[in-house]
Amino acid sequence: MNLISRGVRNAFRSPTRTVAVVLILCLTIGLSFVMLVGQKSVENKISDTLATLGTTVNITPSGYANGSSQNNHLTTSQLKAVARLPHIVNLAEALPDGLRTGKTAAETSLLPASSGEPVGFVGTNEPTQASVIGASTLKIVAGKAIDGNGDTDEAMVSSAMAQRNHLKVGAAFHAYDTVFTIEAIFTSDTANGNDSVIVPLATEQRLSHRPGEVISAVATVDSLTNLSAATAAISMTLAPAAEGTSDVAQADQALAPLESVKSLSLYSLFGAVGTAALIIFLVMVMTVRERKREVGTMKAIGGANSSIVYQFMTEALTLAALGGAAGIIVGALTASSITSSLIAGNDKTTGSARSSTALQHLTQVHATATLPEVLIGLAGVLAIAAVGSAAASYLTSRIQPAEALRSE
Amino acid sequence: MLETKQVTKSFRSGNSTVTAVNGVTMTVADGEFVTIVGRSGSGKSTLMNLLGGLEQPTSGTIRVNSDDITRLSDSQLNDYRTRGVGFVFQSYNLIPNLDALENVMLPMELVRVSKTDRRKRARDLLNQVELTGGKQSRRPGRLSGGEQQRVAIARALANQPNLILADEPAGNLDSETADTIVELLRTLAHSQDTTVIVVTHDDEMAKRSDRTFRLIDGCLNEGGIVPQ
Repeated sequence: MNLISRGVRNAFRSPTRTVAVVLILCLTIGLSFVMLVGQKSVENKISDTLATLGTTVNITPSGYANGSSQNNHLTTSQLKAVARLPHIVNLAEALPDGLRTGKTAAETSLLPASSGEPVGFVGTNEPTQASVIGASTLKIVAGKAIDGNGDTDEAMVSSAMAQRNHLKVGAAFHAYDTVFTIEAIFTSDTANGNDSVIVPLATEQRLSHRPGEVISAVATVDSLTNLSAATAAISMTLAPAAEGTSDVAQADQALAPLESVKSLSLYSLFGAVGTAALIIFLVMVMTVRERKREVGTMKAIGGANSSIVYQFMTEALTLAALGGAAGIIVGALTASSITSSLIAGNDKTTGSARSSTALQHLTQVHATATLPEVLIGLAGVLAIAAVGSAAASYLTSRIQPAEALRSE
Repeated sequence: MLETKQVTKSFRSGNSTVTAVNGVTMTVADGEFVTIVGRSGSGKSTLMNLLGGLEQPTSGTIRVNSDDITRLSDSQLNDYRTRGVGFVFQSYNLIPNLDALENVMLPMELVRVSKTDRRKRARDLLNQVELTGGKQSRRPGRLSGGEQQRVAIARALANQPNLILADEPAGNLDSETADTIVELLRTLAHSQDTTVIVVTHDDEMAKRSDRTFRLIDGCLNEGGIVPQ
């Protein structure tokens, strides 16, 4: 029998003590593991959510309301100042026509892609940007995108509209008493997008007699990190005429309960790990004190301090490994439900805070233990046990053997 | 040969100092079976601990085969206790969750004897102290006091030390078993040239030793030797 097998056997010396210690460790380590898994899962959810938010800022005139005839508008010159701001990498300006609202007398020969909605014209300097037609995707499927900075009678129509009107690339149609040539056909993911005709911004401004006018713009920021600062800078530049809004503002509010759970999990993790460490240390202090005489005997027959420390460390590691394995199993089984309960208990966000698609289902966090987390958990438990038992046994192993032998 | 010169050991007790061993000078030759007698509290166990390197004297020297053990480093002292001395305690001090054989094997593990060799030697030693058969695989709790003391003696002999120190080895045993243990230690001393020093308060045991030292209040009597 060697030092390690003696240490392992000592762990089972008193079955009652072994069961009690393993049970207590199981609970504290299980709680630590739940908090570790919960904290990681919430952290991943937050970063995943932020990653899907995009780095765009929507710019609209102050008090703008869809369909209102009292709306203010922006100008191309105002937006030039925005384009010069730091971290702005792209600025897509849009001027929707009045066909949908009946604001102009212009007529078009085109039929809408879907029945019910009229055809809408959008003038833009960025004809391939989906946001200008209220869509999240825009893909050219035939022809070549028009030059948004030009002033030509060229247009892009959706494939659904082209199909309904029997049009192809190079075909012509009428609008604003002008003959437009179809340069490209695109697909988008919204009905509104499919009912849109995209023309150059200057063309729309000329034909609708609104020179220099822009109704909305979308600024793209170089990174998510700079989004909040850029949004604030845009609002400040355009104030009081217009304001910039991004998903980040909504996200901050919507993510608040998750941030709260993340902090709670982190503090609980420290608390539970600290408790587990204290339990192991105190158990080993009691164990070593109980066996002080045995330590004296070991020293009397020539046992070195290090071998005494290693023997107690093996004993503590055995108990911690058992408690840790049981705790991790319990933690893995309960992590998801405990995390969900914590989130539900902290979620006071109103539905309006989650109007963005990216923020839907935000509180549905599925906390599952991954292999790295299991390994981190086990390594942490064993490290705590090693340090706790080494400290406790080292204090006793340093005393004179005669003193240890005199103890009862 | 074991030789002590003016060995003193004092302890702090509150504000006062208690001298347990006071200027002890003695010499014991190789292969001698010696007893140290004295009343309870006379300093016998403290002297035994000093001779075995379990604690350091306040002053004086203890030479074992010309090495002064009071000047040894911790690791040298450890080596001395592993290879040079075998202890037999009144309360046996066996490791309770190891069986008799494993208890005897333990000191040999510390000097890295192979598992096969230490098992064989442990069996031989237990046979030598007449603990045979199934009793060798019993834990101390399932052995009688006499049997436990036999295991303790076998353990003390495991690394073939030159010096055996026995502190009241028969203190917890009935007279018949005590006789057997004393005889065992005497035989060891004479047949294996091992120095055996036994601490006892029993004058009967002292009469069976080669020499007896009497300790009174930490001091050896005049000359240190009690004529038999």
